[in-house]
Parts: sequence; structure tokens; C-alpha cells
Amino acid sequence: MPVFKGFLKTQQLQNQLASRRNRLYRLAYAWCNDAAISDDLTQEAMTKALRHCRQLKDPEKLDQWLNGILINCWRDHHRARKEHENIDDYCFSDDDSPEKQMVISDQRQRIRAAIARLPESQRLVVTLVDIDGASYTEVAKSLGIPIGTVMSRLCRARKALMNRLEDLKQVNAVVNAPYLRRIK
Amino acid sequence: MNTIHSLSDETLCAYLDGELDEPERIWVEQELESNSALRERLHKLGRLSGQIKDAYAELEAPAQKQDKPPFLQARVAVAASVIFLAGLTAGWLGGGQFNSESGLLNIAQTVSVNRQSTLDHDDWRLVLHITTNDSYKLNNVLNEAENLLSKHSENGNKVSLTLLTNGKGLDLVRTGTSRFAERIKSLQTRYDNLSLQACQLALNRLKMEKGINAKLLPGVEVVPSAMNEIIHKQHEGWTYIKI
Repeated sequence: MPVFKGFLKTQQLQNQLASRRNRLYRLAYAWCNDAAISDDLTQEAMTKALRHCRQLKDPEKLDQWLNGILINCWRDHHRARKEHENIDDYCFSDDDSPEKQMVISDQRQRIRAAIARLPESQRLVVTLVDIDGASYTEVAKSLGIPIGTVMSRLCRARKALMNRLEDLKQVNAVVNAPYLRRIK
Repeated sequence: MNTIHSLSDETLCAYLDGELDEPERIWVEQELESNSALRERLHKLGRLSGQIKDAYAELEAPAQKQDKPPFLQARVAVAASVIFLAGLTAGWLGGGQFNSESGLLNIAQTVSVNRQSTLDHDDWRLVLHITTNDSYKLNNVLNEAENLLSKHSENGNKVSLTLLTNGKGLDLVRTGTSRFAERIKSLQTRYDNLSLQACQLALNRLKMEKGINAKLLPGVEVVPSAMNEIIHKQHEGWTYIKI
């Protein structure tokens, strides 16, 4: 009974997907830094995964396959919203203002903000490796790029993040420095 | 410092991520032993990697939205694609039961025929899955349903027809929203082989999301889940048409 076989397979995949929902959400969040969009992307990726469950040839590679779907959803989302310009190419003048830095006081938020400012290509690689624990080969396949490119993008992303976090630390050190006042 | 230059950051990253092969790994470890600046660099990279993972570790996906359960939608799509192919394979569409001019087929999203049911021409079982409140479509469905029931009763064929409603289709069987209450009542009186069903999950959703405690027309049976009912009926050889 093909309907039932299909149904059982879908049921099985549904359970596997449910256990990976948070993982997909975290990845999506790392890319867009927005809870609502991450939720939409996660839902969309899971729906697509179920709809195309027959395309998954090797169940061992479920995670890599899911990452590929999520990446496509993210690119589609990007394409739909982006008209002619790449937001990554712009550096807004108020991005580094002390006010902004004060808001980003929490270490986790600082890191998320720094990742959000990475160029898209580097952001995808570093989050897949560091958040998802994907191997270089898996990342290369998911993104359709050579391993050498994965390595160079990852390295550039980590360097940029280190520099950015170092800068933030210095700004915070200045802002939080003891303030002396003379009392007459 | 020369060592740092010869050992690139890319290699150091790959070492950190466990991506180097044995000889490279041993080489990097030797370099690390003799170079404190390199060790410091590796330590920073490792700490950063941990911080990145930690920055997202506590994030959890919000509870699934009620208005778009992806599993259900996808499950319907998967089942629909399978059964639609099954319908085509059975060749039933060209079999003259519903010709291309049939209003029902024109408004159907999915049609599926179980091979078993095509073999037994004395026993027709058809479930019309209604998920729309479009009056034009509903009117068409009721016309076709009436035609089928009257034609088959004239021919003396055994026929069972179920109108299964969920989603917006519930409007058809709810008192107050149904524009066809009288017509349904008249059909029910004339044909005891016509049954109307409403999905409990959809009723629950209506209550939860819109606070509507739906009252159903007389004789409408509530089934726990439309999806389960469809699968069950498919298994029993019912023909399935989604409107």
C-alpha cells in the first residue's frame, strides 16, 4: 500500500525533524538575527523536507540534507527581499556609535551582532562549522563551493570576528572605566 | 614569528576543527609546542569558536504556529501526490465515471482512485474532502453529489458518499455559516447513504484561535482527525477527491 508506506516514512521523518527543529532555528537565527524570520525559515525548511522526503537517499546524511534545504530557503528569502543591492556591502555610519555599543552589552548579543555583520558568504560558513559542528566537506557540499573556499572563508570570518570583538571590548573598557569626580 | 607565517591561520583553523590529516596534525602540534604566540592564537580561536556556539545555544524555536502546521500540510501533499498518481495509473479518470466536463473534477485539487474500488463496480465509495468555503465551489459540490446519488440509486448501484470538512470547509456544516443548510437537510432526508463529517482538530482550532464554539448542522458526525479519516478511507478503497 504505497500510501501507507509513504505515510510511515513521513511519520518517521517527522519525528526526526522535530528533534532537529531547534538546531535549524539556531542556524537560521545566526544568519538573519531575527526571531520571526528564523521561525519562518525553519518552518519552511521542515515543510520542504517532508514534501521532498523521497529525495533523501542516505538517511545518515539527514542533517547535511536539511542544512542544504535551509540554505536554499534563506537564499530564496534573501532573493525575494533584496531588489538590487547587497546590504552586506554597506556599513552604516551609526553602527559603531557608543550608544549602540552600550545596548549590545551582553556577550552573547555582542557575538550575534558581530556575526550578523559578517558578509553573507562568511556568515554561512562560520555558523555551519561552529554552531552546527558540520565538517568542511559537508559545508562545501551544502553550499556548493570547494573545500579550499570553505577554509579561506572560515578563516576570514573568524579573524573578522576576533577583531570586531576586540574593538568592542576596548570601547566597553572606555565606557565602563571608573569615573572620577572632584568634590569641593 | 616566522613559524606563524609558515603555518597559516587557515591551517590553524583546520587543526582546531579536527580537519587535518595525521601528518599535518603532528606538524602543527610540533609547531605549537615551540611557539607560544601560536598557542595563544589557537587559544583565542578556540575560545571564539566556543563563544559562537554558546551565543545561540539557549535559543529555542517558538511553539509551532497553529495556522500553518507544516507536518499536516506536507503529509497531505505527500499523500495527495502518491494517491493522485495511483488514480492516474488506475485509468479511472478516463473510465467515464466523471468525464472531463464534470464540475466536480474542474474544481478538484486532487483526485485519487483506489484500484480495488475500480474492480468492484457494484460498490462505489467516494469521499469529498472540502476545505473551502467558496460558495461557487460548494454549490458545485452539492450539485454533483446530488447527481451522483440520484444516478446511482436509479441504477441500483450501492454508493456511499461522504462529505468530509475541515479548515474553511467547516463553514458548510456549521449552523449560522452554512448557506446550504436547507439543501443539506433535504439531501440527508432523501439519501441515507450520504454522510457529513467534520474534523475535531479543525473545530478545536476554531475555538482556540477565534473563540468560536461551532454548532454543527443536524446529522453531522465529528471525526477525531480529517487526515486520519482520509488515510483510513483510502485503505478501505474509497475514492478521494479534494475540493
